[in-house]
Amino acid sequence: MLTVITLAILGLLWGGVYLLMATGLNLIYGVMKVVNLAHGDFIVLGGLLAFSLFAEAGLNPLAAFPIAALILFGIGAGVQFGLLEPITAAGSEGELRSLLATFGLSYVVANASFLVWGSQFQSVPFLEGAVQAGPIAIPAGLLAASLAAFAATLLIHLWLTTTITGKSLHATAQSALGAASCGIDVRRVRLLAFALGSAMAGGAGALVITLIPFQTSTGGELTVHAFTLIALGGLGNYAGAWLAAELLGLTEVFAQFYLGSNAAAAVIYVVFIAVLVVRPQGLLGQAGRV
Amino acid sequence: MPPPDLLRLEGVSAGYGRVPALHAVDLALGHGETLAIIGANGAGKTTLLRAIMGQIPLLGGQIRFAGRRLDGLDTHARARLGIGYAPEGRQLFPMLSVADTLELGAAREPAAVRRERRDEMFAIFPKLRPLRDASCGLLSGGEQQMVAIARALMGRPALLVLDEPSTGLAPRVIAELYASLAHLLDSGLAVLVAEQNARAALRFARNAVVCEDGHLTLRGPAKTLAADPRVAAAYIGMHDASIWSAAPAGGAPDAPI
Repeated sequence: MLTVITLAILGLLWGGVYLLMATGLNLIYGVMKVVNLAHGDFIVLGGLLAFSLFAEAGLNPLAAFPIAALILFGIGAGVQFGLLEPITAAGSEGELRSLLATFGLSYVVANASFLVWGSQFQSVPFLEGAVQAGPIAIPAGLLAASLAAFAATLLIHLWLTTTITGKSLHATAQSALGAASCGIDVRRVRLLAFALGSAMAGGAGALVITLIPFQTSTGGELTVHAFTLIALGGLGNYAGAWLAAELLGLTEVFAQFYLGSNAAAAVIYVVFIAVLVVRPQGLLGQAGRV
Repeated sequence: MPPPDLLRLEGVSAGYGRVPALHAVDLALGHGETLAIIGANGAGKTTLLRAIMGQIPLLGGQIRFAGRRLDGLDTHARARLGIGYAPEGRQLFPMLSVADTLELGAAREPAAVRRERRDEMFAIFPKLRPLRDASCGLLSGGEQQMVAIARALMGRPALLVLDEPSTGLAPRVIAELYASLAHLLDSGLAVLVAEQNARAALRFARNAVVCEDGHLTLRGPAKTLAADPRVAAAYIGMHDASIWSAAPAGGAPDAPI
């Protein structure tokens, strides 16, 4: 029983980290209908930046979290301005073109990271002890990363739902023409959404690298993870993404413990396919969409 | 010298791709004036409004608003100059509340101003007040159209551009909607409304134009056009006579299209 409780806590904590990973992708998809296939590479880039900030500048991993997010915010803004806005504004096949463009971008980011950091696995050791809660021991690093991820997701969610700028992101997601007729510059809103989504990827990367080692080629796997989550939750759906993130965290932790890590990777997709067969609209469907 | 026109279109051609759906249209509207564009579905009314709002590029001609050329300005920039736009299909934010939607109509104003104007809208459209926290997607068609118009008014425009506000609404609701609009005119607002529902539009507006195949074929005072047998035969007979209460019995027969 103790084992099950411990595993459940670990799964829920991992869910928080996954949530931050997926929320950035979700935000970008919700506002722009762009599936950013470079999202996982942004996560890895954020992690490797945090690694350098830690290893070369001696920065605390938690301090590296906002810095990595900030750098990725800038990169995301540049990508949106220089690449995605020109090709998606041009016409009707915007979704397909943006898909191909972000696919290409994922290679560019991964290979640029390879040139800087090489191909070896990098990790950032952080809070390696455990927090003892009665008979249950929880890894302190995972607890800190999870709380930071939850806090960041919650802050962004509050910003999106309570400020007028946040609401203009929702408005643009729901009707770009409606938003434009309010005098909202939808191009700027899209820039902000992509930059913010990228920042969340960067921040998530800085946290995840304290938990599992990264190499430059980890990105593709993380993109699939994040995409699985938002597909499970219903694209653009925050509450659904949270539920899916917890489900994924729990599934992974339990499967790893009982079936081993090779099987765990497959179990996630079995769950994914099962959910989509039963509920093709995602766990919560359209309810609560951006 | 008369004051310059608020909105002036000169030789405007526009369309989708290279095929013009509007052919060299001239149009002028002064401060506080009301103009109805009537015509059948596909005649080019919406294209005309989309050209004014910068939703489609011009193939020729120019558009001026308050003396300023609008060329190259995006829709949001035109809205900021003082054109309130309630587009075809309303284009509300289905998941956002009425109050949030209205505030977004004045998104660039400080919070206190946004709230003040929102309350003004609840005074103009009292039906919306109890619905302030309801999601726009759950409102009735008439309520949605009121939100779309109120949202367009939140930016304090000099010109309100309405695209088919009566679509999908019951005659009673249409009458109510136009009655609310008529009250707004006291403040000096100019209104340009495109309507398939010629009865309602001609009763509301002072002047009107008829749009056919991308050309403005008739223009004049709305009353004159309403009495014009060509207009009556082609457009007025298309709609339920019950809302044309001013018409004498049998005066506006339900002629086939």
